[in-house]
Amino acid sequence: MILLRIVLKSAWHRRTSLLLTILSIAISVSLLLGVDKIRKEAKNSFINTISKTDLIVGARSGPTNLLLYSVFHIGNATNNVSWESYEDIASSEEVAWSVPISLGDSHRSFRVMGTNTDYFTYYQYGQGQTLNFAQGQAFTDVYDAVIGADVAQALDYQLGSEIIIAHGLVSTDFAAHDDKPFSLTGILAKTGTPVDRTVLISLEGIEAIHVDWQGGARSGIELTAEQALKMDLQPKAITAFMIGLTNRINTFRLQRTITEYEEEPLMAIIPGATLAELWQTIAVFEQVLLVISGFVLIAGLLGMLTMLLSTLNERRREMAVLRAVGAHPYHILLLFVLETVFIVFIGYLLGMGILYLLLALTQSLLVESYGVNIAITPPDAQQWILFAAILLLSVLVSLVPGLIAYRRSLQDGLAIKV
Amino acid sequence: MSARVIHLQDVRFRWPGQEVDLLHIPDLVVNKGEHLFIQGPSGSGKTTLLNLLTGINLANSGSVTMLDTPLESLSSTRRDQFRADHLGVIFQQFNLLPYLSLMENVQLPCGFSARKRNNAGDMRATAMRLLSHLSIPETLFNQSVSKLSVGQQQRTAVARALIGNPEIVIADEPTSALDSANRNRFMELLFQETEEQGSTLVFVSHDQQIAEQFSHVVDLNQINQSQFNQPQFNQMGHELS
Amino acid sequence: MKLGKQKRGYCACILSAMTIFLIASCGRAGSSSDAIILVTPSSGEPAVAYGSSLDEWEDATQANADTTQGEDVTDEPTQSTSNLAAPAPISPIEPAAVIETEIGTPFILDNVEYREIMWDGLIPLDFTPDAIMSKYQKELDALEDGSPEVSELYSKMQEEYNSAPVNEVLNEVEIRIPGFVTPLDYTDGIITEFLLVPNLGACIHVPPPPINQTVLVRTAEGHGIKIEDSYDPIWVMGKIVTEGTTTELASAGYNIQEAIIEPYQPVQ
Repeated sequence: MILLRIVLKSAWHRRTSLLLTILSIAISVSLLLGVDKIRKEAKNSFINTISKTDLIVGARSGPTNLLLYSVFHIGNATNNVSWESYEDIASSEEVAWSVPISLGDSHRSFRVMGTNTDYFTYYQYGQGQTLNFAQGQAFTDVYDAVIGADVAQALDYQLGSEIIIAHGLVSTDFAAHDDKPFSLTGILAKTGTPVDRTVLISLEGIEAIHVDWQGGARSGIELTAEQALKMDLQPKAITAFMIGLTNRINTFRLQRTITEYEEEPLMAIIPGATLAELWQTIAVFEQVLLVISGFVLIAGLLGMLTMLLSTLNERRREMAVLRAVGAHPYHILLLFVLETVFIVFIGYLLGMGILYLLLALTQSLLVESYGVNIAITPPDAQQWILFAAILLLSVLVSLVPGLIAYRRSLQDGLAIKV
Repeated sequence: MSARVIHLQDVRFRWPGQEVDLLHIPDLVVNKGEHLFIQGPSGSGKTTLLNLLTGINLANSGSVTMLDTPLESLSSTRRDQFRADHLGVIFQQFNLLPYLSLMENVQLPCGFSARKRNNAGDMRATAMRLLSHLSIPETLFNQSVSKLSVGQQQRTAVARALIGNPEIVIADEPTSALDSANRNRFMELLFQETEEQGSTLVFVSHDQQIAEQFSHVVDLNQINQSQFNQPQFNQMGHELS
Repeated sequence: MKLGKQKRGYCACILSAMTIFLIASCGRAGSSSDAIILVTPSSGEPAVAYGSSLDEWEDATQANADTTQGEDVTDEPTQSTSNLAAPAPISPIEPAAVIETEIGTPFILDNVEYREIMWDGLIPLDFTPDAIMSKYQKELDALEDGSPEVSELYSKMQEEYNSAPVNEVLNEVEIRIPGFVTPLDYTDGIITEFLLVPNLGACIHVPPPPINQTVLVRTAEGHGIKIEDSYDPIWVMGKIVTEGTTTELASAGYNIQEAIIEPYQPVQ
C-alpha cells in the first residue's frame, strides 16, 4: 500500500531524530516490563521458598523477622531457643515432625545452618518438592557438610573439598574456625530457594566448632578437631525449629501454647500467613514502582508527540504534494497514525530486546548476590495486553498532529504558504 | 466525450467571512488538447482558481465541469480521486518528496490512481521513458532528489504529472524559479510531452514572455468579473498596496 | 491563535484520555480478575484491625450490614473471661434443627445446593455458650461475685468451650460459610490451602478459636486466592467433613476439599 511505503520512506529519511524517539520509548518499555517481570519472578520465588511447614518457632521477636532469618537467612535472631524447650514442644502430641536449625556462622559470605538429617526429609518447597542430592549424601560425621547448588557453582567445590566455617556472617581470618575444617559430603540439586546459597552442617558440628569459643571469641584453651569430638556435642540451644502437625486444624491452638510457653519467651508463626503479610507490605513498593514506570512511559510518548508536532511545519510542502497527487486529508491523518504506531511498535520490541539482553547479562549476578532468580521467559498474556494498550494509546497520541495536519491540508490546498 | 475538457459557468467563489466574491468567472472553456495560458499576477485569485480547477475547493455557485463531470456533484473524497485519476499538477517549486528517489517520485501518482497505474503499464519503464524524454540523465534515476538541480527537479515534476496519461495537466508558475535557459528547455519539453499524450495544458503564470508560446491566452483580471478585480486584493479581501 | 488553541485542545484531550485510561486500569485491576498490571489497590494493610469479625469488616467497608439475619455472628470473646454473653439463641431441640434454623435461603451454584451457615452453627448444641452457661448456671449462682472461684469456674467453662468437639450433624453437608483466610499452602503463587476463621488474624488477647471454629479448606481448581486478596473475607462453598470423633485430636476438625471461593459482599 502506497501510504505504508510513504510512511516507511519518510521515517527512514528522518531516521536520526526518530531513532532517539524510538530509543526513549524503548527504555520506558524496558523499565515497565522489567519492573513487572521482576515483581512476578520475585513473588514466585519468594512464595515457593517453603511449603508444608505448619509452624516455625523461635525466640520471641517479630513474625517477619523470624520468617526472614529462619527461611530466607536474612537478618538475625535476637535470642536462642533452649534445647529443653525444643524437646518439650516437639514431643507434644500435635506435632508430627520437627526440625531444629541453628544459624550464625558463615562460609565465604554464604550462611551456614546447623540442622539434623530430618531437614532433608521434611523441608519442602514449591509444590511439595523435597531436597534432592545432585551429588553425594547428607552428613553422617560431625565434620561433614552439605552445600546448596549455588555455593557449589560459585566456589567450584567438589565432594571431599575442605570448608572452613567462620564465626558470624563475614568471613575473616581471625574469626574462622580454621582448626576444624569440614569435609563436603553432599551437594544439593538446585531449588531456586535460599537453600541453594546455604552450607549445611550437623548440630553437633556447630557445637564442635564453638566448643572452645567463649563470648564470641576464641578462648585460651584451644581444642583440636579430634579433642572436640570427645566433648559432649549435644546442642544446648538452637536458633529456631520447624514443625509439622498431625492435624492442621490444631495450628492455632499449638501456636498459642507456644506463645504462652512459660519456660522461655517464644513465638510461633504460620509460614503461609506470614509470607502473605510480608508480601502485602512489599506489594506497596511494587505498585509505586509500576506507577513510576507508567509515568516514564507517558513521558516517552509525550516526547514523541513533541517531535511529531515540531515537524508539522516542515512537512507542509510534503502534504501539498500528496494532495496534488490525489491524497485526501484523511490520508494525511493516516500518515501520522501509521508513523506513530510504527515508532511505538519498533520501540516496544526494542524495549523488550533490551530487557532480555540485560536479564541475560545480569542473571547469574543476581542469583549470586541476591539469591533472586529471574527466569527469562516469553511475555505472558498480561504483557501482551499491555502491548496492545500502548499501541492504542499511541494511536490517540498520533491524532494530535494528525488532526492538525488534516485541517491544515484542507486549508492549504495546493498552495504552499511559505 | 465532448471536446470541452474544462468548462466554467458563472462560477463565484469567496472565502468564508468575505463580503464580496473573490472570483466571478461567467465563462471559461478549454478544449481538448489546448494549451491555455492564464495570466495573473499574485493576488489576482489565480491560486483560488487553481484550487477550483483541481477540486480542492468548491465554487459557491456556478459550475466547474471537468471532462463532462461537474465537480460540485462530487463529494470531497470523490474530487480527490478525480484529481488523482485525471489530473497532473506541477508547482512552482518543491514538487518532489525528499525521501523518495526520482523514480519513486515519478511513480507516485500511480499509487493513488488505479487508472493511471493501468495506463502506465510497466511503471518503471514508463517512468524511465518519461525521464529520458525530459533529459534527465539515467544515473540520477535512483538517486535522492537532493542531487538534482532546480531545472532537473522541475522537469521531473513534469514526468510525474504526465505518468499514467492524465487528460489535464495544470501548471502553477512552474518556470518562475528557473533561469532562461532552463525555462526554454522546460517549455519545449512540456509542450512536446503533453502533445505526445494528447493532454490539455492549463498554464498559470505572470510571465508575459512565455505567453507568446501559447495559442490560447487569458488574462485573469479580464475574465474575472469580481468587484475585487480593479484594485489588488488578497484572498481575505484586504487591499494590497 | 486559532491553531494554537486547537493544539492545546487536542493535547488536553489526549492527556485526559491517558489519565482516564490509567485510572480505569487501576479500577479493573482492583477486581479479582487478572487485569492490566498497572496498579492493584491493596495498601499492604488489611481493611480492619486484626481480630475483627465479619461485622466489623462490613461496617468498615460501609456496607448495609444487615446484622439481623436471624442470628448475629457470634460475638467473639473480646475479653478473656466474660465472653459468654450469648448471641441470639438457637432453638434447643433436635440437632437436626441446627440446619433448619440457619439463616438465608439455600444457595444454588452450578446445580449444587449449599446451605448457608454461620459460625455458631458449627458448634454442637451442647457446647454453645448458652448451653454451657445453663449447665453451670446453678453453680455460678451459688458463688459469691468477684470471688476467685468465679474466675475459676469461668476458666473451666471457657476450657470446655475451647475444647468443644465438632458438630457431627454437618458431616458431608454442602455448606456455604463466610470467613477470613489464614494461608497455609501456595500453588503457583496462589493460596490453595488455608484455615478459614471467623475473625481476621489471630489476636493475642483472645483465646485461639476452638476446633469447631476453624475449617481447613483446600480450594478447587481455579479457585485459589491471590495474596493481595488474602485479607478480604470470602464465601467458602463445599462439602464439609467432620473427621473422626471428638477427643482424638489427630483426626478431629472440619474439612472442606474442592472448595468454591467467592468474595464476600455484605448482603443488602
